[in-house]
Amino acid sequence: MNNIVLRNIFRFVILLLIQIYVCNYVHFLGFINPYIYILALLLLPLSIPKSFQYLIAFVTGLIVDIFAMTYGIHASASLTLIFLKPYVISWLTVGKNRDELTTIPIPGQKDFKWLLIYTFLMVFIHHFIVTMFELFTFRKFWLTLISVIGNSLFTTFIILCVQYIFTPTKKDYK
Amino acid sequence: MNNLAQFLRKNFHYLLFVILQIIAIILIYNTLNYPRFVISTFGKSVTGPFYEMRHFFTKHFNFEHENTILVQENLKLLREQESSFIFRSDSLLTEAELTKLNKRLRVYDYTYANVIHNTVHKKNNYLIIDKGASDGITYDMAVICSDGVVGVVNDVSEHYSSVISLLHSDSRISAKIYPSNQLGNIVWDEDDPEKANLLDISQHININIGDSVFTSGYSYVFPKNILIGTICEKEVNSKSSFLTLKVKLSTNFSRLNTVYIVKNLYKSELDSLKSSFKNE
Repeated sequence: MNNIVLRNIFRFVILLLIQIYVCNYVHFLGFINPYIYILALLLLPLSIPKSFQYLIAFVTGLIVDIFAMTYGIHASASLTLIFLKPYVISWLTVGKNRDELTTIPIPGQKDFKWLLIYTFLMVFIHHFIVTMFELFTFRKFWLTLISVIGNSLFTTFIILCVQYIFTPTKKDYK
Repeated sequence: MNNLAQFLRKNFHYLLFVILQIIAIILIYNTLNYPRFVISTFGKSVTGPFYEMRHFFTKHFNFEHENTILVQENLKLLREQESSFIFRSDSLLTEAELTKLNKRLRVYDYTYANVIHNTVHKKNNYLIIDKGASDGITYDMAVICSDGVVGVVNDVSEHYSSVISLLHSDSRISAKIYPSNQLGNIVWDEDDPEKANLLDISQHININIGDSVFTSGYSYVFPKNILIGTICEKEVNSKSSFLTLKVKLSTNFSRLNTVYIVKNLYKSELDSLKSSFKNE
């Protein structure tokens, strides 16, 4: 148990540092700006009490906000992400037993297709909220949507790469 | 009442979600300036050290680029110096009119080079710089740096040139002392790379320790008013009619990197004039 907590804290710190020092300065093709700290939220065990999960997501988002000087936007998006996470997982695993809801989506437990859809969906929700809050307008909505999808695909790609490179052993997640 | 407590305990996370979401939205669209100001000042006090740490590492990547920009800027400033022109601008005419009338004639032009070889402790010291004949460097051009005088170009190859440093037994630079405006010659005293002798200053002239020594501009190699150093020793010699003066050189010869090469645009004219009075 202690090991999982430490592992999660370590993951949060590393991903936040990468986000703050590297990813906030990436402006690939002018609109692609990956937010890879979401990975830490995606890998947060579902067994943690929900209210605690929300607090973690809120604080994480707020830290990113402080560095990006967008007060509240990332906090709101992260909170929504963590709120929708169990619903998305249960929606994607219809017809299977409920035990899977407490496991964590990592390679080795889920097949690639499932992971891809899950990650993309979560990332898209987060990026969509962030972008819409930043712009706060529905003008050029379709153009915005395309750029959000492009950005989401890029972030999804990075997250999946990271996940497949650093896949921990199965027994760490119970 | 019990039911309510149970209901709250069961659905506490929904409540928390809504509360946090509201806080986030308030943060986003807060029209009140004060809380936003408080948060942003607090935020900056937190983020400051992080950004500083990042800058500590990333600043090194830009040094080379920054350096070339600074060198270009220095060249521009050197070119605009008054001593680079023959006639000073006239108060009756504007700058544009002066250049139109060709009254402000450019005499000195500047380029830069990097020192790739340098000695200090030999009897005759030379430098090698990474620009040569293909960059327009010719024999007898002056070499200066931001601190002061460096030397004179001695030999030129296609891409490199050798420079007789001021720390050379043959180098001799026409100098002027400020404020007494006396002319003398700077000659190196062959043992200390930080000091040189100033010759040909008569005994009756009032010279104090700490007086600045500049180039005179009469040698046609060096432009006027480039700092050479300051007087650090003064001795009255009973045997000769000249003072024995030592000058602390302003240039740190052991730490030369970027130098500027001064090109006299009328060198050939002046050379031919000079050769005519040698024949006399």
